[in-house]
Amino acid sequence: MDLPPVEERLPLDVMVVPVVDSIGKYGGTWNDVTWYEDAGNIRMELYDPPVRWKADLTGYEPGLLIEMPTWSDDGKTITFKFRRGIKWSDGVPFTTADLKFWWEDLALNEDYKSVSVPWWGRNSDGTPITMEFPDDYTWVLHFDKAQYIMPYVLAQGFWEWEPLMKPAHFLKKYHPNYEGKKGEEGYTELDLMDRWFNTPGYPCLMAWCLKEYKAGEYRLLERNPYYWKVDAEGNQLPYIDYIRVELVEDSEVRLLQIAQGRYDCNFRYNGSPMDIPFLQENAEAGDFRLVPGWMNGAGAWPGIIVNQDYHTAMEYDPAKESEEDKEIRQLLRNHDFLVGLSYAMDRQRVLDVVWGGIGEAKNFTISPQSPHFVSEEGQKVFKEWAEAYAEYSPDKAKEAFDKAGFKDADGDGIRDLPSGKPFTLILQLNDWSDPKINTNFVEVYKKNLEDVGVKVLIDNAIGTPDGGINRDNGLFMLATTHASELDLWTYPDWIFPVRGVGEGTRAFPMEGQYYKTGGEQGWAPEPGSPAALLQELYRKGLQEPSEEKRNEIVWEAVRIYIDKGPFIIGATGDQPQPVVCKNYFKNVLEYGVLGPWAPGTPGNTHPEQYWMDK
Amino acid sequence: MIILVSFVAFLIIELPPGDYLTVKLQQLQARGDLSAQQRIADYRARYKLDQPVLVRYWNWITHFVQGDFGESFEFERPVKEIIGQRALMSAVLALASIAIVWCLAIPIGVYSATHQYSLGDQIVTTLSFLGLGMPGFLLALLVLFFAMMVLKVEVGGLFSREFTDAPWSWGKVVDLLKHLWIPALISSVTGTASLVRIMRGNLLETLGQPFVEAARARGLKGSKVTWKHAVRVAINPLVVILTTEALPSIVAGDALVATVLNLPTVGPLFVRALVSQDMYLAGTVLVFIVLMTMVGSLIGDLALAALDPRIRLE
Repeated sequence: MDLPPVEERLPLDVMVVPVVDSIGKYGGTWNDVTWYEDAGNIRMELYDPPVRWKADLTGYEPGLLIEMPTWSDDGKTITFKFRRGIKWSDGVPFTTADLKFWWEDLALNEDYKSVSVPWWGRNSDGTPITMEFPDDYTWVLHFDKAQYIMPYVLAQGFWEWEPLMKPAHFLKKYHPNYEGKKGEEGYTELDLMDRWFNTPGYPCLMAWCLKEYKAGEYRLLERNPYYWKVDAEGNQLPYIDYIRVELVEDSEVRLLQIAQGRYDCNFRYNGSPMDIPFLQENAEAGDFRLVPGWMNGAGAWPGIIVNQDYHTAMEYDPAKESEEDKEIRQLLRNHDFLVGLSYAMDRQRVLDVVWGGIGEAKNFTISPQSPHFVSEEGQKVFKEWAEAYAEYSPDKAKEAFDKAGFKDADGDGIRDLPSGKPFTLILQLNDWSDPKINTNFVEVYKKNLEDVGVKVLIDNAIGTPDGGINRDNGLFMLATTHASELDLWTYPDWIFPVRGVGEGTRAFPMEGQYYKTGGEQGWAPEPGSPAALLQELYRKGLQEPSEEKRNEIVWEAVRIYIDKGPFIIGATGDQPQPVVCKNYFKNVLEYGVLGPWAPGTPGNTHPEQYWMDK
Repeated sequence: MIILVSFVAFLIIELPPGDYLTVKLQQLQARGDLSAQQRIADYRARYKLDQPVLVRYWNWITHFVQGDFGESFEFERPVKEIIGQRALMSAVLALASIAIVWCLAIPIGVYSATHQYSLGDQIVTTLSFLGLGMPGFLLALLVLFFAMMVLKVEVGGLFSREFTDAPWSWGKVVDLLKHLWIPALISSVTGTASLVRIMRGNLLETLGQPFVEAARARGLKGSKVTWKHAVRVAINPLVVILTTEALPSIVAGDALVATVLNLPTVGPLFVRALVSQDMYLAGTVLVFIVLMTMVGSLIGDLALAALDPRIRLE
């Protein structure tokens, strides 16, 4: 293919990307590995939304946009201004007409099932919002209520922006309303072609676009010759020509291959901090390094969710619920009981036995690297949160349980419900994040609880969908978990119960369902209850234009977790995460968080400026 | 028969709670996808999973006989395309390992039976029990570790990176052979063992029978008695095994070993499809396995009849 000179390929408003260490040399193939067909770990390397996470994860900056979005005074209208002159990878200009095509011909089109209106694109009554496309570079969104969070949603992971990246000129060839076959047949074909990660030659806006794909074996991505970023000397990025991704399903083999130095650089191979010593041993022979500064971002790993909405029937009927279930729910909601559960946990032992000392003993928080806690005051709040009830003290645990009325009524040495009925605490062991870690952890915690007189039953849900279904529907008492998140306004779940069944509920599944469905389903939180207070704070935050003030609202929510909770109990956290790069692989930032996927890591560190010195 | 099996298979895959999308939903949630629920609803409509199972089965099976096997949920590609890519490699690998196993197992079995309780027999017996007792995937992991850490050779897959996408050439064949030794070694160790035992047992039994003694009494050479008279009778069960077990393995061979070794064959695909309830992919492979088993049985019967006059007479 004959390309025009590079000056003509670059847009009017180029984005200048600072390099981490050095101006690079062009060329090479970046070999990488994934463990599942969807290759989400690789898509994270291609992260390139309009608003993006900063490389240091302290907040957001414009990407495809020339400046951060602006709000009308009432907060209901958001205006996005794109860089002028950006082109798709086949040279056709990218304009708001592409977004218009996505919105009108795909998302709003009832006949086309594969693309629908995104969750943030709806008014409070559920109708789609209004969009305007006044010129080629301006995109205006009208909401019926003030909405200060939505632009940051587009910056999360690869899955929020990617569905909007629709090259109209390419897809019109298959769309029944344009040049495609008419009717059902046409939509089926459109659906098959409209998968940028499976259709070679699909025009994209990222640094590399798909060139070859062999299902179940490999993908080859090729440098986008019209990419819109340059380095400080004006060289067009990316430096690297190709990315080749292999699918290796078996985790042990993948680890062996990485240890052998088979891949140029890998950020996410579904590995564990426990791999670090083994990788370190092989680093010299494999000519690679473990890039320092990359953390899991775990606020609790492992942790325990205490279900505040405990019940036992999928079709919940308060009239039919047994007294015993009600009593158990009251106990699980009791602050003193929760404090007892926390004091009973021997965190140092979890750290030593489960982790071999990697990480630190702390109570549940969100990611320590979260921008909500960067300020001095924020650090204080965070520290208090991480340390609250984190001490190991069987005596304090016993005292707290006694105070909650959770005592041994019949003298058999085992604590019973306040009414005197015998009680078995059921702890769900699941594969959330890492089944091996969870398995070892529940062994320790079970012993801890038995030491203070609690009878524990472990419900092993590893490898079944039951665990997830039960968690989503609130049909569990305690469940193992891995907690990490940076931005609670785009991803509220860990703290704010505002989402429902099927969306990864946490400690308040039914009350979250109530908020999400606007009161149609789920349970109404009692006035003044933790769930009610937290939901109120979230509502307040969405209407709050100031980032500072929004952070303060998060701190208020944390206060509720400390004073009325802890609803989630953490054992250890803040483990590092292995990132394995060859010694010739340059410009990799020595900082990042890989646990939560929302922050777009490592895409936020500009992989287009990585290069290979060989 | 095939229709019955395909229907039962479809139902069984359908039985566990949830469907492919339940699994997918959890995957999306695990990475923290806030739009997961909506995306799943889109998928459900795309794959028509909201329809009753009978309707879906009927749609699938009527298309199946026309050569359209449906679409794989996980790969988001037609099943035909995915299996097509891997079928050849599966067959090559399976045939190669069958050839190796048989060329080794029969002579060793015969040796071990004719030299019962000799030192050679003891060694063969010990080794074959080891081979029987050790699961293939464990052996595969050990061999992989040894090859990577001690021999420092590249392992996993059937080709080096530079040859995977290349057209066939002499270099590619050599590269294939370089990778093939590991799966071949593993399947010969685990596969040979059981066949040796069967061959040895059968032959021992046959060797004690009067017609063998009669043959010896007529003054025939020992080797002739063994090979022409005894082995010919003792080999019957092996023919049955070859046709009814080995033929289906051409479709979806030893899936666990192939998964560990990252081989681009149908076996790992099949296992994954079963786990994730990827209905059409799993169903299609299953139908082919059944088909091969049936064809195998037929060939087995015919071969036995050809080999053994006694069976022909009945």
